[in-house]
Amino acid sequence: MEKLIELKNIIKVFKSHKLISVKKDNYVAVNNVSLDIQKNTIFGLVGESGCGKTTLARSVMMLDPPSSGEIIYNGKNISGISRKELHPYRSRMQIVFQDPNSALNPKMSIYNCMKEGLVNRKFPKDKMDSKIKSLLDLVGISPNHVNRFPHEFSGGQKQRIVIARALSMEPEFLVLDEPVSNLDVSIQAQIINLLLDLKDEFSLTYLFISHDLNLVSYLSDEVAVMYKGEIVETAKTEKIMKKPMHPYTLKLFSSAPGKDSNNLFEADDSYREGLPEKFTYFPPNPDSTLQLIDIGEDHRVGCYTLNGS
Amino acid sequence: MELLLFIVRRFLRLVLTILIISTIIFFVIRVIPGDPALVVAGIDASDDDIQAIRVRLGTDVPVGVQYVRWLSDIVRFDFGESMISGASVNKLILERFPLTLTLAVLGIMLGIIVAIPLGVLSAVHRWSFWDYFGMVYSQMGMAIPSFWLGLILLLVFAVKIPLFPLFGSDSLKHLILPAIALGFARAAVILRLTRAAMVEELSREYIITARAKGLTDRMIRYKHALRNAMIAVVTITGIQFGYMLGGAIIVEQVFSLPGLGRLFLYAIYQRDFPLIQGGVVFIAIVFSLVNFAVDILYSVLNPKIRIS
Amino acid sequence: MLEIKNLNISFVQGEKEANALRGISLSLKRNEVHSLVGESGSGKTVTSTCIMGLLPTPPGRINSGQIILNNQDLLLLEEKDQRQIRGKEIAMVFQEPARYLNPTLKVGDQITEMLILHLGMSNIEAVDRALEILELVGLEGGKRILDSYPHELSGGMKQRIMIAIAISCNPAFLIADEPTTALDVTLQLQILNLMLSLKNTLDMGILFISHDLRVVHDISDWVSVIYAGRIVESTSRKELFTNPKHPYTRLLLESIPDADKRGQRLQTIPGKVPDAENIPGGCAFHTRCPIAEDICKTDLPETKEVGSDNSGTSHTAACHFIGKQWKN
Repeated sequence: MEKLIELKNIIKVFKSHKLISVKKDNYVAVNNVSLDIQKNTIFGLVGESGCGKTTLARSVMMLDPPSSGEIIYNGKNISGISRKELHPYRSRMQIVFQDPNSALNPKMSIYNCMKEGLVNRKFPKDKMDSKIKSLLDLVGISPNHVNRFPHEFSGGQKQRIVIARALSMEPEFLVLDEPVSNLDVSIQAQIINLLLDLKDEFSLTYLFISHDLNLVSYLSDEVAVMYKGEIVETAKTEKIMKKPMHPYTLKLFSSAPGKDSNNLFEADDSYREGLPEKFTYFPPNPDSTLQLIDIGEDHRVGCYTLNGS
Repeated sequence: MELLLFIVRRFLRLVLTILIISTIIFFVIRVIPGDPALVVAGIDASDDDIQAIRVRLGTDVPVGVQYVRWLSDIVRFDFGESMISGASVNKLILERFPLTLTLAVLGIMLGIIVAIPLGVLSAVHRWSFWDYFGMVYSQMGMAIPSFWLGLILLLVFAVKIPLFPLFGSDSLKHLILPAIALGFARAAVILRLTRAAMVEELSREYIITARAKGLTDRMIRYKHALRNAMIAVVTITGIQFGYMLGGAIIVEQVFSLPGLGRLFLYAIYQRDFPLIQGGVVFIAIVFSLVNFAVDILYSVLNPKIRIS
Repeated sequence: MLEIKNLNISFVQGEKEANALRGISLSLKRNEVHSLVGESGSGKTVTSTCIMGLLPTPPGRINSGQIILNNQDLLLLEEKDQRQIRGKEIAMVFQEPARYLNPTLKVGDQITEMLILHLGMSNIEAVDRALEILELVGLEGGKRILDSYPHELSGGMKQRIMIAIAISCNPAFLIADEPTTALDVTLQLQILNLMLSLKNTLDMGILFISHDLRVVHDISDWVSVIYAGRIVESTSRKELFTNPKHPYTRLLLESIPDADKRGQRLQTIPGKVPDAENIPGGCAFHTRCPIAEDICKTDLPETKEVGSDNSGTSHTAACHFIGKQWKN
């Protein structure tokens, strides 16, 4: 396995911009996140809304550069480099959002939507037509429909077009931010299958962001659980599904719908299941920092060192 | 506490606005070609006379010193004396202001009394008689200039049917026609906005909740929708009020009313710089205060704004 | 009992007519959760707005059908009498509490106004009752909550307020239209559990409208599957999830991803949900159905009893070829 992306201690802070305010509250959206994403795999990032997963993804893509930390892409640190140096990486990393409606300009035909990106990366004009048509064909949109406008397509079709547009940049890495959450149940499976096919065909690497644990556990090779800006647990999907450790992971997993029993798991402060002696899941004092410890086979759990040890 | 903090914040913003405006006025007036002392002194004045006038006007010292003096004058609300009459600018303004203020208040009341109910009615009964009436009114209101309306009002209600006096400013009765002339167009703007705001609120999801609760139409419209629509209406009404203070210049001219508008108009004719400066700063302060009041009212109506 | 009988509703706009509901029948019992599952555009929301008497006519048009509560047909009532039912007998909870609560009205007012209107309470009585209701929906903080505005509360709290408003007059039936879709999973479970406990304590019947089969699995006693304005299958939860009969239901269940299906392709349903203006003739599902034959294109399948077990649980489905298998 080869690493495509390495994140080292990513921190993203949003500063408050008030002229006069009682307290200067800076909001730490992403706190000290370190992750590796292997080539040609799917990395699932789960967490509840507001936990910082989208902010992290935007930081990884340098759309919203992190406040500190390093992003190593294919062995090269891209977090500190100039705009110009960054340019080639822009097309290698693409993102697909939850809502295809806001991703497509309603006043532009599908052809023009697709053309924009290609023109941007100086794709030869004479091959433009056939390129666009073949991309649309690839995602299951009839090439005869290139002159239609976004509103003439259903939600699922629009999401296919967004995917086709991302692919037109010939990316290696795709961030998929809740790409099927807005779609009907019967359409979700179509898009998921399409994404899996495309991954194999073009050796893509996905960062798949979702709140749907069932979906993430079906799809991803590795999973990270994010809570209040921090990664609290990460492991191979089979590992974490079989034996979730962190109390938040357990809470999240126990509340996923569709199981026979559903009792919400709520851990009390004494809960420390599966941790070595000197660690605890709960911060012993307000300044403690979370650390990920390996409990075997790359299964890493967030915890704190107990006082006095 | 939250509200207090908000008010303090807005107040500081108000002070900052006034500071910026007075700085701009100061420099704009200095940029205008020609020495005001020459204007005051006349063609035949000797150099000594001119210098004396400069000292009196305070234009004999470097611009930096003048600016500092200007700011300290503003802080003390002292705009000097009129170059023409020699009376204090403050006194001149404060003499005339009550009339203009009364006129604007009457104008805006007219706007509120006519425009808001009509706007609500238009929105609630869309495509009804009242809605069409409101549409025709707002079109006319925006198309008819106030000086023309003022003349027609005088012609009809003071000359042909002498219900109102033609001249003077002694009683409230004298101000009715000018207030109509002034408020007519403003009311049209308020009407349109009220209708739009109300239509928008009535299409919001919380209205569905209100209906699902089994509330009566009256409660849905006036307790739920109107309350939210008022947020936008109050803002626009405040801005319209500010406009009225400026718009009074024309109406006061038509009705020969001795208000602020006429005072400033003559000051401009006569190049009475201290009076012009004082007048513009005064209007700016009043305008800012109106906006300040609107902001406070807005935040009382809209609980969300206090936090963000 | 709340019974919806053969409801047929169109939306008419100029020459165009969209047949949104094509003969829906549902029955809700007290102390039971009846789920209506379907995709967007299948007619779920039209059903709920019609039961609440909130269907705008025009463009809506009720072609036929009855909604029967306490031996009277709600569709025949005048607006004034319908208002007596709304909120008092049948209440509703919506998907996005942030948008369905009035932003400029204190939460307390939004609860008490119903108590004052429907139950004739005085202001003081209503506030006392509102405090009791808050406890019932698991909101601590009493008066402080009543005095806050919706934006001052979290998403989960807002949905609890929505529920508090809905149950304030002790309604016999509650319609919940995707009440947890906008919430995170942990909150979703809490709200589902809350609804179940309220159902028991208040002896309330719930019509639970959702697109999410997993949530439906967790909350329902009875499930009806709706497709293109018709109920295609209806039975107890256990029957539906262990022994689905209609090909649409079967495909939907198989297309849900979970860890057990890792490495396999997901089952998909080709095409998309037809819009109400262009519903295919015959069985509306035939264009996407793997077992469709010629008869499906022409003849509307009857809803018939298809239950195989002897427990006496009713299991109805509308398909010409119940039990027929297909190859992927």
